[in-house]
Amino acid sequence: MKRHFSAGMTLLLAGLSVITVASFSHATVPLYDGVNFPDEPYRYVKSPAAQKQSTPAPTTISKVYQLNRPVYGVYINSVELGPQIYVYIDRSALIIPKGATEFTLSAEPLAPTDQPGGGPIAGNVYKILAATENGALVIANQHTTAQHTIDLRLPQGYPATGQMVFRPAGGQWHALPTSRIGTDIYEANLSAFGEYALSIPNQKSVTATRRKMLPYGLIIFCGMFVVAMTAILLIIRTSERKKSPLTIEEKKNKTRGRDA
Amino acid sequence: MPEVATRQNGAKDLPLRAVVLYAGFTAAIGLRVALGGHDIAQSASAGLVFAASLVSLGVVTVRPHFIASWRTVLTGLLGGLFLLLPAIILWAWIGNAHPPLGNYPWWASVVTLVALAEEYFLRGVCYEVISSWKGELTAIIVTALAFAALHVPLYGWQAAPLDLAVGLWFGALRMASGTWLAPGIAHTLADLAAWFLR
Repeated sequence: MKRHFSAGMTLLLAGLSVITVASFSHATVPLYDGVNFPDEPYRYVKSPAAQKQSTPAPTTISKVYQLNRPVYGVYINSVELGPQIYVYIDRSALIIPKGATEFTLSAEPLAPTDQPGGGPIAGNVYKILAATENGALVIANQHTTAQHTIDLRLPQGYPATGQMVFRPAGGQWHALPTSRIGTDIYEANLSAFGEYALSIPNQKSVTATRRKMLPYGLIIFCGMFVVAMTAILLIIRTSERKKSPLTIEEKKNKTRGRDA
Repeated sequence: MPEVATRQNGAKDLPLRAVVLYAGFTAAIGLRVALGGHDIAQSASAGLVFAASLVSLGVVTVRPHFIASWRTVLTGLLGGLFLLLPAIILWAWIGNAHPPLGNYPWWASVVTLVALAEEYFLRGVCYEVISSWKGELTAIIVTALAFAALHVPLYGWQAAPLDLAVGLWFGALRMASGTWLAPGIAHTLADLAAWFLR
């Protein structure tokens, strides 16, 4: 009875901790085994010279929202597997021109034309726009609780050091505080409409097809270590069996039999 | 009762077993990282080598509790559905189309093997050794910490709180069901269904 109670309480507490953490987590669909969904090859507007594999064109996304209906949040995501871009904006973070009845949120992929100072762009540049029939929308950054985020997927073959960069129309690139929220997904605040991209700081980029040599020394060391630990565990188990051929249960049963 | 928990002289070896197990576990993570490189989370071969390492470490340590019953299966299924709830809600709201099924059998096989190997090792073997030594609560916490740690090279530190909470959930399922099979089913179900809910 006490064990059932303890198990029930543990389940309850663990369940509550999952709900709590999941509520604050920005991660996409979580996986717990470490083998990700296989992504399709990154779709470039203009493929790097080293990439020989041909891919379909990246998708342009556009979504119309009617303002006479209650809207709590707006989002767009591209249709690649997995999506190369995902944008989410809380309705309360949007300043909409008076008299507007609908607005369009869009993301258009572009080839990078000029590079930010901190490092080259990896993948496409995405131009994010939102407009009504009465003019453009603005994001209200003073709303500290309202979410307005952009997620970009890093192309295959790049080190996991993606840095989100942004520039307003006709402006200069500048880096944004960036979080890695998945294996190759990076997130930043969508502070304004304009162009967003992922860059690789400090010239850490590699070509999409050139792969780093496997660290054979580390592989051999770790592999040997696993084998050694397996052997030690086997020795412990074997020596223990020699020392104690009977289990406590078996000994208890034997004692009970003698007492009877 | 499991072998390790009941052998009289074996009780003295429990700390040593636990240390060697975790040293081996760390080396298995290192092996996966070294094999997977930048694309570690996309590398099925690195995942399979990791799974094989865990199973080999576990097989020579102890035979953990394995109870195959309807109750275990039901506990595992409900445990997995609970983990899928946020993804189901998100999917119902956004409603993305799932990827084509062409790759699914291959992906699902790898995912199932890796998920079951992780549960066999953590909620089976490690849980058995640590609970015999320090009690079930310690076993739940230590295996949850190990579960969170093994995912850091794959998903980064930002995923650690969620993986820690999920590790606690799997530990609680292990405690409630009395077998590693229940968290094994929950883990596998949560992973396999995620393909359709992304």
